[in-house]
Amino acid sequence: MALLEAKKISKKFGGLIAIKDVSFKIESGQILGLIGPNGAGKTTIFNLLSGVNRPNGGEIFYRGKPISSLKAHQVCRLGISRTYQIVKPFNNMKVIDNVKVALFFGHKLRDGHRDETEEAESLLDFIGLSSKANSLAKSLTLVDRKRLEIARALATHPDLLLLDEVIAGLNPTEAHYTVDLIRQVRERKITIFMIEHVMRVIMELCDEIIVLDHGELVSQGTPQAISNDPAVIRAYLGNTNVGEALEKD
Amino acid sequence: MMNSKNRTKILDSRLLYLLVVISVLLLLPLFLPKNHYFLHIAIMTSISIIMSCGWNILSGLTGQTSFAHCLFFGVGAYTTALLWLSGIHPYWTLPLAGVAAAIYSIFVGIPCLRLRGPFFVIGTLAAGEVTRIIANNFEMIGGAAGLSIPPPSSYSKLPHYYVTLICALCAIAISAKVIRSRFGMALFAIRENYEAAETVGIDTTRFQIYALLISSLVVGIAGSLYVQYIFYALPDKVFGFDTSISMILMTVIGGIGTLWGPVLGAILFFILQEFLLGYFPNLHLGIYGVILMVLVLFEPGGILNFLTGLRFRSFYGLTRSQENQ
Repeated sequence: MALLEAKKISKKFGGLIAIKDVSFKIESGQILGLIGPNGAGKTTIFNLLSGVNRPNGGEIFYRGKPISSLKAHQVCRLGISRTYQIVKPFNNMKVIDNVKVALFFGHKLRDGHRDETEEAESLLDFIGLSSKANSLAKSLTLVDRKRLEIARALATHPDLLLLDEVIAGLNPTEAHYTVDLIRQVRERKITIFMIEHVMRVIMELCDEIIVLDHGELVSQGTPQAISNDPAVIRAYLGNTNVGEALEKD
Repeated sequence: MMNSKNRTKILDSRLLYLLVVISVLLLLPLFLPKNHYFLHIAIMTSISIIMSCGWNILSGLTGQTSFAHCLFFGVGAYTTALLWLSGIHPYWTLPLAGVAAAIYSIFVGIPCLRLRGPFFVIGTLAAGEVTRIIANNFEMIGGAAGLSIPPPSSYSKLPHYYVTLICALCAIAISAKVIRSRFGMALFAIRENYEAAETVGIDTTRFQIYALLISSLVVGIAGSLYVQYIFYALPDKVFGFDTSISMILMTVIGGIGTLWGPVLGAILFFILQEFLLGYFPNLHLGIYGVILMVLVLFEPGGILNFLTGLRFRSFYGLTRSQENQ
C-alpha cells in the first residue's frame, strides 16, 4: 500500500481550475519530486495534501484512510508535515520556541518524560541553527528562516514531509548544505515529497518526479525519463520546434 | 550552571518584592481612617487589573482584539446583582458570576472566533451592542434603569478591599500560569501566524475558545466585584462600549501580551484618570487622548516595554526577558 495516494483530486478557486483530476502515489521511503512551470498548481497540491484547502473532487488516502476532509492540525498529527514556500515563522518567538511549539502539539505521542528542550536543541543542531536558538525568529536571514521551517516541520515527527521550494533562492554553498540535509532526513526513514525549481537538485535527489502543467499531470517517471519527455519540454518551453524535434527522434 | 543559578537568584528577589508589596497592601488599610480615599482607589484599580488581565488572556495572547468583553463584565455584574437581590450573599455569587460569563462567552465565541482580524473586531463589537440593547429593554432585569441594590446600613469598604485584592492577585496568577504554559505558547503561535500554527498541529479554534473561556471567567468576576462595590448595575455602563475600550486601553498602555503589562496599565490608567478628573475636570479626556497618542506613536509596545528598554524582546513579558539578559 502506498503511503499516500491521491485519486483524481481537483480544486477550483472561483472559475479558475487550479487542479484537475490529478492522481499519484507516494511510496514509503522514496523522495518524490513535483515540478512544473509557475502557476501549474504545485503549491495548491501541497495545500490539499496538508489540509489547508479541501479538494472539490476526488479523495486523498493516507495509509489507506481518506484525509481530504480533515483540518490542517489533524493532518499534521497523522504524520504529514509541510514547509511553506513563503516562510511563516513565529516572528516574535525565539527560534527554539518555534521548534518547541511543534514538538508540543505536532504529534500524538504524549510521553511525559520526554525532554522537549533537549530534543529541540538537537533538532536545531541537526539543521545548523543551534547558535541562534535564543534569537527571535524575525531576526533570521531568509536562509535561516527556510531552515527553521524544516526544523519546525521535523519537530512534528512526520512520516511524510512536504518541502515547498526549500532550495530556491539559496546560494550554491547553502543549497549544497540543504541537499545534504534532505538526504539525512531521508535516512531518518521520512518520506519526502518536494517542490523544487532547481533542476540539478531535483534530478540528483528524487527517485521519481511528477510534472504538473496548468493543473494537470503531464508526466511521471524517473528523472531520466522526465528529462526526455516531450510533454515536459512542451510544458516548460511551449509548443516549439524543440518539442516537436524531440518527438520525432 | 551559571545561568540557572542567576535565574533562581532573580526569581527569589522578585518573589521578595512581590511579598513586600502584598504585605504593604494588606496592612496599610489598618492604619488608615475608615473608608479612606485610598481604599476607593485600590478597589477600583484592583477591579481594573482583573479586567485587563482577563482581556489580555484572549486578545493579548492570540492577537484577536475583542470588543465583546464588556459583555462578560456585564453578565458577571448582572448575575451577582440578581442573586444578591434574591438573598444570596454576594461573595458566594463571585464564582457563579464567572461561570455565567464563561457560558455566555461560548455563544459569542463560536460564531465570532471563526473570524479573524478586523472581522473579529466587528463581530465582537456587534455582539456587545446587541447585548446592551437587549439588557436595556429587558424589563425582568430592570430595563434601562438597571438593577439597584440597597446598600447595608453599616458599611465598611475594608472587607471588599481584601476580597478584590485577593481576586486581583488570583487574576495575575491565572494570567502568569497561562502565559508560561504550553497552552500559552500555542496562543502566542496563533497570534504570530495562524496558518503555521495550524500546520504544526495546533487546533486554533479550540485553543481560542479555551482562552476565551478563561478570559471571560476572569472578566465576569471583575463585573461581580464592581456591582458589589457600586451597588448598581446599569446596562449602559456595564455592557457599554466604554468598558471594553478601557480594558483595551489599559492593556495597550501597559504592554499587550505580557504578564505585568496589563497590571501596570490598569494602575496607571486608573490613577491617571482620577488625577486628571480632579485637576482638569473639563479637559481630562482631551489630555488623556494626547497621552495615549504619544504613547502609541513612540512606544507601541507599552510602558512595560519602555521600562525594560528592550525593543525587540520576546513576548514573554518582563520576567522572561529579564532572564535572558
